[in-house]
Amino acid sequence: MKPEISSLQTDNFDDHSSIESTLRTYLQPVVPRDEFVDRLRGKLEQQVLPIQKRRVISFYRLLEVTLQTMALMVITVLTVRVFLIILTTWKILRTSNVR
Amino acid sequence: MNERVFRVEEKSEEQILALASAGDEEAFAWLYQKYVTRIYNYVYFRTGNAAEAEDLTAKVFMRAMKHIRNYRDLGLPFSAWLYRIAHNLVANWHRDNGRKKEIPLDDALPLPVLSKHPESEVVKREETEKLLRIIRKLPPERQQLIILKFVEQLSNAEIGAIMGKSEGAIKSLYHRTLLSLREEYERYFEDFE
Repeated sequence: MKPEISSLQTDNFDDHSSIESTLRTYLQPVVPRDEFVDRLRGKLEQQVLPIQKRRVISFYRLLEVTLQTMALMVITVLTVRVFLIILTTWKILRTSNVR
Repeated sequence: MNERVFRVEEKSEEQILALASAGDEEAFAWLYQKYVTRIYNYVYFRTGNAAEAEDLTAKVFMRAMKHIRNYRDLGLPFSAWLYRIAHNLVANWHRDNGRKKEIPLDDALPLPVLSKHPESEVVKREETEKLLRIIRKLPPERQQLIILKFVEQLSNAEIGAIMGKSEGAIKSLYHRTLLSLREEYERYFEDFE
């Protein structure tokens, strides 16, 4: 394919200013479609909600784990205490029986 | 909500950035509105395709929103951070599409200046397409420089801030870019002769 003689070709790129002039002529900003900009904004807004939700969920998850750990510790302490009481009682009873 | 937006607009960009980093969605919306066209332009001129530009622009802002909490103000403009994301995504896109046929400028592209003569619009579109084909033969850094300078119309200092270089380095790179552009231009037309 041979391109037609274009203004690009006819421009004399002898110096920087002619290249700059060509770039200035042809590289002009474009505007994105309004529908695209609005749709993307909507998408971004929808993304915010799950992020906030995840944050709340992670807070409750942390609270749940903390409470579970505390409950486990209380149960462990109580179990040990009950075991010790039983052991002590058994020892006392045993001593009294021996006498 | 309008009241909220109004209050956001009263603040400086640094304050808005701080709000956005703290998860304020209105602040992020303000940043989005300010930069969406610039990022779209950058991606569009790097890919030459409106559909891809929309897709990649969406990815840039999705990624920005995901990581805005990690954003730290290092004295660079916020746009530099966005351009960096865009630059990486465009590089990935070029890598993934490297072997595919070159995509021409989208016909559905809204041209910036509407003429009363459709023929001249068509000619201008073709000329732009040729020029972009030549520009895309340059290394990514030089393409970025040309787009920031001529499409975004930024100063050398602003481009330096975005590209992480000094103003002098940008001047030097710009000079080399124009030289290589001339060489690419000559090679392009020699190929057809």
